[in-house]
Amino acid sequence: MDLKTIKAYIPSILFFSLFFPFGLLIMLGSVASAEFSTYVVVGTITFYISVSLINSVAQSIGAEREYGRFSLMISSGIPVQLYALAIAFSNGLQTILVSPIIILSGDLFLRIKPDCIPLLAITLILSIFLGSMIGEALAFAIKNIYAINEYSNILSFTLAFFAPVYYPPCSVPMPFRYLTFLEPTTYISRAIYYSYVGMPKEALIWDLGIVIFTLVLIILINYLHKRS
Amino acid sequence: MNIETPIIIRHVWKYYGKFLANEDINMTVNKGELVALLGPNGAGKTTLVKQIYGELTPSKGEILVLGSKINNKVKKRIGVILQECTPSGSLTVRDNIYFMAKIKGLDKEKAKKNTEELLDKLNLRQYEKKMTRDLSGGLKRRVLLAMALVNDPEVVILDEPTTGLDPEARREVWELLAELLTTHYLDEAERLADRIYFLNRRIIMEGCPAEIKSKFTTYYEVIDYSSGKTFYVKEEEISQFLNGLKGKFEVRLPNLEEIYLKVMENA
Repeated sequence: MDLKTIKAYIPSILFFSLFFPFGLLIMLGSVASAEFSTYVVVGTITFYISVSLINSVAQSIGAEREYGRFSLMISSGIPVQLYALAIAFSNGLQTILVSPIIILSGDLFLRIKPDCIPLLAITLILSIFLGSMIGEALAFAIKNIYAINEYSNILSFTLAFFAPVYYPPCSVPMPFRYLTFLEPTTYISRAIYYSYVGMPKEALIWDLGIVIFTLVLIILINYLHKRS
Repeated sequence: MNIETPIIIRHVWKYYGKFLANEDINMTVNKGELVALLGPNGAGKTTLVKQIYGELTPSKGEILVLGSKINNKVKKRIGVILQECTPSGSLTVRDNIYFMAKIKGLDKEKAKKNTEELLDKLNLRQYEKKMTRDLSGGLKRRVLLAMALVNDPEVVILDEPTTGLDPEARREVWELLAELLTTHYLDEAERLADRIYFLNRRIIMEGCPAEIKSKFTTYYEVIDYSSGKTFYVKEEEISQFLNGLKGKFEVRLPNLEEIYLKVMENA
């Protein structure tokens, strides 16, 4: 049912799935030096997971609660977790579709190709799941829809631009570098980066970080469900 | 399954932290019966309703719906219209109804058949391809009504189904409910309900409207059409008073709204 609603937003989906990543890659690629080209692609994928996914999941769940449709689904025999997952999945689908477009555009415009595609696929799936869980946790932690909209914007842009997403963590001066390890997008961008440059062992270590973050969030979401 | 008492509520207490919302509620709803809950804002009506359809669980006590504690299987057999709920705005009227039928476990054929029937019955045919976000408040409620009835429910729960609607849309919703749920005309809870519970955290009074009126009132309202005046006359003085009237007159018991105010005042 939630997937069916996608057709109502086709113009914005087309813009943000196609033209916006093109623009972002070309713009950032043209100002970055060649050694940072990989970071432009990796950063743009991470940016999408953070800004697009966290925002859309948090705000969709917030709106569903505000308009009473969560209650309607519960009264119809759909478990709240399942409905929240369906919303997260339908929003995640857009990011799943955008990722190959960014990867192909990176190859086309910046000549950057991923070295280890299976590992990149695993990382992307784990990252999209983590992004959805952050959005879901935010939506259940805050009751007011306006606050959800406000804080999801702040959080997602913070995670995209105040984390080593478009540059390596070593560029962040000490002691602030330690703080970046509290941000899940650091793990996402690192795992994607190592999948791109063909360092599977390192990529898997950062993937483990993504899994740990996700598990912590699942526990938190379950607690928030019970509390609400 | 033939269940004579589809809803049984036994000694239900509900706390939100330290706040007590429902206190020792005992209630039954029999098959074919229309039961209304009346009470002021914050009386715990919605809390009780949410426990019946399973969004909340009682802190103490037990609620049986269709013979068992509320679970996902039972939920597929009931229909609910919630307070301040809207159908999915990004889906058409038809899709909202059809998908609710599928969620309620109907097979494709039955879901289609019931959707078609309700589109006609609720005069939604001309809007079937419209996005529900483009509909008026009254039409959205009509769609919700169709969604609640699409599974041929054995129990229908309505939590302030006309909230936020203008008088015309409110009347339209009640008329539809009357047509679908009962065989007689109605437009108010007084005419709708077979039985009424006055609730203010706990049950203050219950009975059928006539019973409550006769139990509670000690005076009659007499409208004298020759003078246009309204008199409130004590029960023991009514015969003598009526004998003194010369033109046409009407005698009636105070309405539920007046009784409700008195009950809540004394609670």
